[in-house]
Amino acid sequence: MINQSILQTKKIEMEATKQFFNQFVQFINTADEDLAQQLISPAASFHVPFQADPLQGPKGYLTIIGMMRNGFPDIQWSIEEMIAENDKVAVRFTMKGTHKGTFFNVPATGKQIAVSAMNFYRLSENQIIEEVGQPDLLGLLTQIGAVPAM
Amino acid sequence: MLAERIKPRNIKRRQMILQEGFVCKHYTFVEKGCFKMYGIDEKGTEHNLMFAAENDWVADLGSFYSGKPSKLFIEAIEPSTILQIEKQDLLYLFVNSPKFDRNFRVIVEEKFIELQNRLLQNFSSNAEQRYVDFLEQYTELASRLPNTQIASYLGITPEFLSKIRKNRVLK
Repeated sequence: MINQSILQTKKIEMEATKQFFNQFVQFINTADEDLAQQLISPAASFHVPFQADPLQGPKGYLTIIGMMRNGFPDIQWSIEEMIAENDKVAVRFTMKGTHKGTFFNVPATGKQIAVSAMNFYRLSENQIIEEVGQPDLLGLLTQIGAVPAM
Repeated sequence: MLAERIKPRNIKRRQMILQEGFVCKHYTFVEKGCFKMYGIDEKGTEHNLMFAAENDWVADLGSFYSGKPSKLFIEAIEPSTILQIEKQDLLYLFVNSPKFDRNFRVIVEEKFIELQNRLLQNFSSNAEQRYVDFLEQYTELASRLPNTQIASYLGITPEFLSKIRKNRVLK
């Protein structure tokens, strides 16, 4: 009886997490400032490769998205897999887009990219409070020809 | 005319519809739930300016009309359902619907009167009187709000508010 109750609670929590991240994907795919303010805590920290200090808050996240959209104006993320435990969520994304702007000093090539990103989030009170992002930058740079294919 | 220009949203507790540094792009009508509008001082202390519950409107008017970044936050205290309208749509309605224009003006004037009264209370009333005035203004809302939020609105500590409430019970 107790196990059923725990399972039901877990199911409800997972559903809420899925709904949250569906909104989050809508945010990162549109750079919607309303969703940025809604879903990201002003105190949130974002750890990204090649950046010693984490970026802060919704403005910080919009900076990351802006950087990606400058290089790939049609970039879209989709969730492939998600695991949640307590306040932590691990998400595997696929990022797809067309290299139409300078990215990491590589001028536009017009090439299509499709790479994975593994991100770890910490949620607090219905907002993201922390993210550690690990996009497959090597794969991305290979696909735009900045790094020779192996 | 109005229905096509408003956007419904569901906001969870502690989520925000406005953060400091962003331009307030919407005037928000609270269909269900409750929000607080607040600023944070240099010491990191929150100061509640107002609450908005069912049938209230809320916006940082200064940012909304000037297009300058807000210094305020608008945060859901409860799970909420809101209707939002953007500036260009609101201005369109002001021009094309005299009835809407008048009704909205009355809403804003009433809010301005509330603000005037609150300023006067802050200058001339002690904490206990300000609490009594708060209970009169926010009769239904007072029981839904945590002590910490009411204390922030009154500009006192939660501990002092507890003392005021205890003294009132004892009287």
